[in-house]
Amino acid sequence: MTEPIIRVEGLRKYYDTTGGFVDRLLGNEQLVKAVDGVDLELYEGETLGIVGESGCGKTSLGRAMLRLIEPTDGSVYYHGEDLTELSSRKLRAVRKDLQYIFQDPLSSLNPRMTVGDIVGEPLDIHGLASGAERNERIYELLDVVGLSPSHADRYPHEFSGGQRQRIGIARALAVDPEVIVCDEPVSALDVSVQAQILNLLEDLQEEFGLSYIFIAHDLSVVEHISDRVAVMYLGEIVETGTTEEVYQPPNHPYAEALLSAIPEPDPLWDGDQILLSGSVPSPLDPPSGCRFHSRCPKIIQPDGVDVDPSEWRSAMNFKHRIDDGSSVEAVVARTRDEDPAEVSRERLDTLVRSEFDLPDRLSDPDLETAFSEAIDAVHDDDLDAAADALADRFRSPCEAEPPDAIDVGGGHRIACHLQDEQYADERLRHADHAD
Amino acid sequence: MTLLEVNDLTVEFYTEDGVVRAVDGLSYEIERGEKFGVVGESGAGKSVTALSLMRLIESPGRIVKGEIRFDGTDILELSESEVRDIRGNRIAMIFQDAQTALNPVYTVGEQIAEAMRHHLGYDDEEARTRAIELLDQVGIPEAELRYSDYPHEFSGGMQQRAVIAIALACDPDLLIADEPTTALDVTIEAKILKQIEALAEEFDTAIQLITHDLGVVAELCDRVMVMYAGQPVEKASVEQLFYDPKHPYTVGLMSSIPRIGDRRERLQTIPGTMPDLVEVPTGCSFHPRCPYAEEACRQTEPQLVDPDTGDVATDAAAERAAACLEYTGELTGGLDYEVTVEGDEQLPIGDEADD
Repeated sequence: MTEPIIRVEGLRKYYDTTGGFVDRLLGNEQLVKAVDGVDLELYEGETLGIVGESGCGKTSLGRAMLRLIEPTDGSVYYHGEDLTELSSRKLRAVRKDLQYIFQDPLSSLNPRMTVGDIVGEPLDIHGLASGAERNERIYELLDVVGLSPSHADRYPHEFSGGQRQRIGIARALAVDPEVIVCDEPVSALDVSVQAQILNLLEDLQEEFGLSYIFIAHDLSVVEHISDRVAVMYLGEIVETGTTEEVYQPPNHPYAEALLSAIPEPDPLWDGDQILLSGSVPSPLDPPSGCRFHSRCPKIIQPDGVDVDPSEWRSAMNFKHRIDDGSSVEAVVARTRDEDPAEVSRERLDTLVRSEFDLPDRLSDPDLETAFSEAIDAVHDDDLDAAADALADRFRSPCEAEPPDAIDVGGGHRIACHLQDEQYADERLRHADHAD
Repeated sequence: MTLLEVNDLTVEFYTEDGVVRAVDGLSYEIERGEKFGVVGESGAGKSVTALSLMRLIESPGRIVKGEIRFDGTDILELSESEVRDIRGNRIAMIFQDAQTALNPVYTVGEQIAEAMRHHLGYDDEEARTRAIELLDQVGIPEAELRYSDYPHEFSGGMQQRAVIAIALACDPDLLIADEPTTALDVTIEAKILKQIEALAEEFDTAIQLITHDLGVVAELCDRVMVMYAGQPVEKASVEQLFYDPKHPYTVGLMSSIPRIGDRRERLQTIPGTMPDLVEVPTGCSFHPRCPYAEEACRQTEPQLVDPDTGDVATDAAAERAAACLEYTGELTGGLDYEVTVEGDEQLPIGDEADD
């Protein structure tokens, strides 16, 4: 395979949210791990899509790559040169080849500058053109992105959202870059305009031989435009591969859930949506082991346990709630008629089972025993004891060890324990279950 | 039974640039318990329509004509205090941006309880318990503890759930959801949509769902109205709309969305953008962007007609209508598009879908 133009190795970006001097002194450091050890390659002329939910660190990754924000750790090699090591003077020279398109076209365009000056500014900064040549170039750029040269004297507020995004693209193109990082370039646009901009980006790629890093939360848009895709979850890349490898069929349980959740524009379509339990955990304190384990519908069962995957998921949800909770009411909500702290042991048992969607008896007797002990403890309002009762049986290898990104062939990397040979049986269980 | 009947609703805004007719002669009706979708791009007049139903149009906007019959009474005729009894009680609204819909200085629970104390006359304790129950119902874990959280302590998805809880607090007859999931991630979107659907079923609430996302419409709605530049351009059942669209704008919208598994190299686009409502094009307002436009489209403004018979179908009860000159025989070239459905063995709507 050819050398990538950009190679990212172990890139990290932590934000310090420590309250202040005293906190720091006391060692109460709080770090948001927005990007946590990302490896990526971008090859010439391709589009690499980066997808993930909001808060997963996509934008931080894009910005840290070009050093628009200073990375905490790691390297970004551009033609073999480490961007993180460059002096600011050298970096400015390199930036000519690395450009960025922002999500919100209005806030990224200076309202006091005419469109001509906005597009011409990079030419001035890099000393690429001046005088008549500069104007010539500006008109040419506006023409390339589908605006008219007469627009050069107008201000950004006079344009529609789609046209503003075109101005942003013209500005990025002004310096004749090699790589453009597009951060959600179409998410603020109406669908019909979105399609125009996507087509424009593709045309420009062909014409100027650009390479794109395309950051978006919309999986259909990413699938449409990308050659390769990286799926991101809580600061980590969980799967990288060609668009087809990642989408058809999805391999990582997270990618699978994301894909299944897209509302299909077809009223008679009746696919099974995978609804993830809970919401994205805080990047301040990400889950141990595999970061997706707290929501994963295919979380691995330990040796000696063999139950239905959805039952196991519910059981683990129950355990997490016990671990994080502080009182009975954190486990089962109080209703108008009932206070879970007051009800009988029997009733509490029923309430918990219905809250977590657990069967009347867990299908594994050992699990049932542990569960029963935990309910006793919860009834006594002793959540620590409940947590102890569950600790032994209710655990998964996914919680213990972070999965390595396993190369399943041709640069298709998946970071999931299910890819590991020692859990081959688990894969079979899910395959059986799907049938 | 008809719950809501909107007749010839017209809303104008008086701006420095001139009069903007944001909604122009809109008629539709929603049955009890029905899920009705309103689709269009920004500037189509979807949100103004929704605000009109609650009589929340503020200066410089004005409802210049039309009637909005809710359960038989014309909302536009009511006094301000009578409208207040309906607002939040019998008609409730879910806004797109939950963060701005919630008051940052009151706890989330208090905001849910407030509506019930006001409209249903609950005392503090009753309202509190019911609010916790609602929070639990919309899927907020540890509802009891979360009751006294402030909105900023909730994540985006949870804020939207809280807004839904407020909307459902008084068991409304009609729920207006204005882009309820646009600001959310797909995984949360899927859950919220399921929830809205389930709750609407449970409470037998009719929904008017406003969205630009055809995927959301396909998933949730029974009937759909497509709007363009303040006017309805097509009304249909959701199956008809997707498998047998009759208006070129609807067709354009559908073909411009990228879909998973679609191997098209380029997306089809609708050229240009929605017109400025100060200067709406003559004739059919879509003609400058329409690939099938002819001279007639510049001259004559099309009415909503039944696409099969060509009869005028502008009244609220019309089930199937499209505003295109094609259906009154005024186009010479006709509309040249076809609908293909991939991966499906058969089309549900007769044979005409492949025309």
